[in-house]
Amino acid sequence: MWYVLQRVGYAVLVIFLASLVTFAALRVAPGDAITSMLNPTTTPPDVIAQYRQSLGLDLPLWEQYLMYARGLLTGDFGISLTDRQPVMDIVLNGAVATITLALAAFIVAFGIGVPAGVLAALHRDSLFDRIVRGIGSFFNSVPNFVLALILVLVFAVQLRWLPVSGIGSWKNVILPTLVLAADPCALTMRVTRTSVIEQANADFTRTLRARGIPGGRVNWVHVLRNSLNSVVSLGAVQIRTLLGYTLIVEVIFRWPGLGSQLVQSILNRDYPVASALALLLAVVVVIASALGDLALRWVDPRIRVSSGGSA
Amino acid sequence: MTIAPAQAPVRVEGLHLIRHGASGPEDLVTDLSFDLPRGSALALVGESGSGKSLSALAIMGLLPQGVQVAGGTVSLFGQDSSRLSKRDWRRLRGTRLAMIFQDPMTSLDPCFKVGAQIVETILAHEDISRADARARAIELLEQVQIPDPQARLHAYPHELSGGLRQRVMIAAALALRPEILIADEPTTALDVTTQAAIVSLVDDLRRDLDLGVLWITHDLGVVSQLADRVAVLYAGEMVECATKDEIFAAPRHPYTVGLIDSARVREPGIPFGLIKGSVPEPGAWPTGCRFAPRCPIAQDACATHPLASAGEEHMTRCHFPGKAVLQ
Repeated sequence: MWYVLQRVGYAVLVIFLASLVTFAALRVAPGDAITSMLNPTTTPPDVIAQYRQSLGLDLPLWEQYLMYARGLLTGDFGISLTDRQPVMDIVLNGAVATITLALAAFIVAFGIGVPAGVLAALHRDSLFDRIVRGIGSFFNSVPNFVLALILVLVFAVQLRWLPVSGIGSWKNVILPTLVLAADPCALTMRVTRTSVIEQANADFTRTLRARGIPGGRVNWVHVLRNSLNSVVSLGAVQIRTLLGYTLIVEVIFRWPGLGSQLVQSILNRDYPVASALALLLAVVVVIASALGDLALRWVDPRIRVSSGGSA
Repeated sequence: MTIAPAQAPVRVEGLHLIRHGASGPEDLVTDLSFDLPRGSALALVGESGSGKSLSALAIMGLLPQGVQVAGGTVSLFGQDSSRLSKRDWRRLRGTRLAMIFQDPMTSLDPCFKVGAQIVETILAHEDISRADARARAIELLEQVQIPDPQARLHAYPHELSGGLRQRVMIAAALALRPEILIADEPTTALDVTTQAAIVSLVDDLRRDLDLGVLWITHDLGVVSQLADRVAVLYAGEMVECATKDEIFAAPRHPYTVGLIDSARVREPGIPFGLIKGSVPEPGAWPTGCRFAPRCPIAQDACATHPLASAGEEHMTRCHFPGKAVLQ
């Protein structure tokens, strides 16, 4: 219980710091919203001043932050500077699209990566192992925007099986999911394989065989259970990586998620939207790593003791 | 197939183990022979690299990858073990033939409770209910003198001390009333008082269960407590084998003499009797007597490989048996 409280306190602190950073970063960047909304050379100075005032941009920075923080606590993220919609609505729409994509990619990455890694490890140096490793290092080394272009060219432009971009039917999900999942899947496969090989050679497997436990049970119960440790810690990291990748993949496939919105809002200097999005991504990362830690404690009984407290 | 009534449950005859090194096959163990009757305790003594652990793994059919039996036979309960199928092996291990290992921390699965690991062993061989297996596990933990066995059942290996973990290993090994227990340096990782307790526990169990115990060690102190016969291994071969009393009172091989000498408690001020040099690596064994380069009494004759003295209760592999004496 103490452990969970510690985790929550830590998460709150990180989110507070993130709110400071997201608030500051956009203010510090050169240029401001007014110059992107109105042409400063043709607009009369008093009109610009009026706009500044109505948006609170003339106040000192600390006052702007207090307004911002009060808004966060009451669920009010302000109004978008570009399309005048509540930021909350824009962000929620984006979150749904991004979570759909990230979750699909996560499932594909682990659903394929883990079993492939286990099988490759158990049949080490077999043909299957070599093929899996070859595909893995390919996906590992190809940048995902290149992979995206290749897949679009082959499946959308040439074969016309799948749409090039956009949102709508389940067919739209396939290509971005594959692009997003490729690298995490390769990494998961490799980590699983290494971990299973390591555990398969551990002393305890010999003890189990010496007791006449069937080989299948030794591998698929004991070795796999001990390998989960590194696979789960990897999973927590992967969530973060996936979020980073969605920024690129969403832009390429014009997927209306948080990534597209973040890029768009930064280009427009739409402070409220950009800082809400950045903050949201920070919150997701904090939650993901907390979940990862908890999952690790569940998987590895030794960690439960070393961090004190009962799970 | 008829089984000779006098045959010991484990009989090793002329065992020859090799591994494929960079420059062709290398000998790891050569011409190793011994019997292990029920109720007896044979200590296999030697420095690391002498091949004692590999010999034990060969008996269990658990040789590491790359190590092969190149000759000789291991007979288990009257059957040539090279003819056993995978299935036969699995049924034999844990039921009639059990083994415990050196490091009880790494030799138990860290992710499973100790009770579950014992229960799993029982259920792998017997068609009984989980509840019955649990009851048996508690009995076993009692038998190896673990206090509060009911609660320990739910402990993970890392929650127990080294001594308790080794007791759990022994309990799991004995779960199906084996006839033979192979112990590969089970006390090496433990502190001295715990060592003594484990040794006397195994000694009691040997008597109670009529176990044949093969105890692998480099510690002569353990040997004197437990074994009734001692086999000394050097560079992959047996150099001396006799009853414990004979070995300690009248060792015949200069290596055995050196081992006993270096383990003796000495008066302050008197230097330890050390054997000079170290055991040669497999592949680098001398063609003659393998101990000759380190032997204080080596002579020209030692350039030829000595044969084991045959047909005697006290076996020695030396051209000059009994010439080296304890000081």
